[in-house]
Amino acid sequence: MRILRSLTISKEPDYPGSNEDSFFWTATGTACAMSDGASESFDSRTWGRLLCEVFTQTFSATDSPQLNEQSLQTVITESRRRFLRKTVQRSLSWSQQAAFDRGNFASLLGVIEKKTEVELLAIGDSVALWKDRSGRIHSHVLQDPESFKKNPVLLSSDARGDAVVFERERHRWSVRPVAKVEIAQSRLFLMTDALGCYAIEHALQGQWAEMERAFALPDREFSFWISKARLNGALRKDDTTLAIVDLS
Amino acid sequence: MAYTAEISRSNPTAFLFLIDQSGSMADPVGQTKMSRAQFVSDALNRVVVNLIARCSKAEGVRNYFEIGAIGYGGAHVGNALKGPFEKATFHPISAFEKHPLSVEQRHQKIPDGAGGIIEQTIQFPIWFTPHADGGTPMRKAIRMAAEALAIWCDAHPESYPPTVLHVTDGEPSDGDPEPVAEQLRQIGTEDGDTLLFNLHSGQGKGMPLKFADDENKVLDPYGKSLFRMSSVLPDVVAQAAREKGYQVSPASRGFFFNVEPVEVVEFFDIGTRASSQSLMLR
Repeated sequence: MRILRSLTISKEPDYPGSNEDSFFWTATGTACAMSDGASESFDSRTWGRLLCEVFTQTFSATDSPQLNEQSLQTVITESRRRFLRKTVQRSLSWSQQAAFDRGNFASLLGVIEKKTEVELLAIGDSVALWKDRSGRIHSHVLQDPESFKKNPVLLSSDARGDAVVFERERHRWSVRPVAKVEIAQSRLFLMTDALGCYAIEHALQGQWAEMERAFALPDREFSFWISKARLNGALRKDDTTLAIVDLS
Repeated sequence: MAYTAEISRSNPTAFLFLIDQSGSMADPVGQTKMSRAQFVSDALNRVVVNLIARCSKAEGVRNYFEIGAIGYGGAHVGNALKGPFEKATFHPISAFEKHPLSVEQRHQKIPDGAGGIIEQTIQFPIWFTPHADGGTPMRKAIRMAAEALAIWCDAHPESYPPTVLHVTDGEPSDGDPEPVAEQLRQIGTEDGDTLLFNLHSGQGKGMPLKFADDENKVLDPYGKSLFRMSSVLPDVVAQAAREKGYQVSPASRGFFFNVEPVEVVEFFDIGTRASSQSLMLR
């Protein structure tokens, strides 16, 4: 697995440090992960980053487990442990404590490369897109622009949130194996929701080529393209992250 | 499309609480020893806590909201906030986090996770204190709110429009408020007109109503007037109301009539969700 490019653009250009998206991979690894932290959280950026880190480390290891509910629960539990360790070292004001008690929420989009296939985990509204050999665009797990309007299923730093993810909303996320030979140019496009929704809209309208051209722009031009799309209302103003993964 | 502007630190939105502080607000609520005024002030303090929590991040409180409160009762129509908040109507949410008037220890009962109930002590910050005196100069208060909102909207032309959450238990004592309410609702930003939501807690004619969508369903003449004064719910607020289990139609208004004072909590909660879709939550 090679990361051909990854870049992120904050929703608030005046506050680039407030970007709550994360993307994590290791140069020698066989897994990577992306997360979109909810803004209405005390520290969803750290929470999302830890989810990505732990996922990637867990599934890049040579003796890595199978991706299933059990191993995913282990990832979440370890992420929580690290998150709490970071938080207890700080003293929180009453308002920060109130915000912390509401929970921290983030999506998780994970990719694990196997010998002949990739496994895609998508919890929430960050999506993976790819073109098949016939030129058709596929996405996981959300597949149409309407589905981005629903409140996404998000992983919480509070264990009480697990009942929502693993029981009540279990039907809204999944792990999907995809044969590598089915992925044209061996390229997988990972993105957080605003760009994901926009890309799927274009794909459904037969305008995927426009997206591919945009994804190939140099960083600065790509940022400009994003700003322009936000300004004309075509792209929702949100932290925007793109990663292109090469599986050849 | 109106009511879709993103709420950010560069373009915050405003919530203005318009609170009846007339003498009747001192009446006790049902069998409790608490007055309506106390119920309302508790609800207002609680909603401020919730708004602060929504904006609190690891690095501090982000100023997504500006908040003001105007009280009216007897000869007084003016800023209902004290201390550092007295000099201006609107203040950034971070100022509330920094400057509560006091922080009380309150007790709350919560499930213990094993089928029982435990009592825990919580910190309850206070910015707004109950007051009840004299008549109901609602018209004058709405005019004062309109003046403050005009200034705010001039300074924030691209923002999500302000929301006014008005709580009253009686009829105005200074004339018909409808014309000034109409003027208030015409003040706005490029994203839409100011939203005026009205809650009446009292004993008017007819059944309690929440989010009514037809004036004919309101039997009380004064209730009809309050209904006409209330804004139609924009989609984002209607969605928040539906999520709370209310039947809401495209014509539903931000209008509670004849409700118990405890409903103020729900009214404030849904009213301040006005922004939840457009706030940079995701």
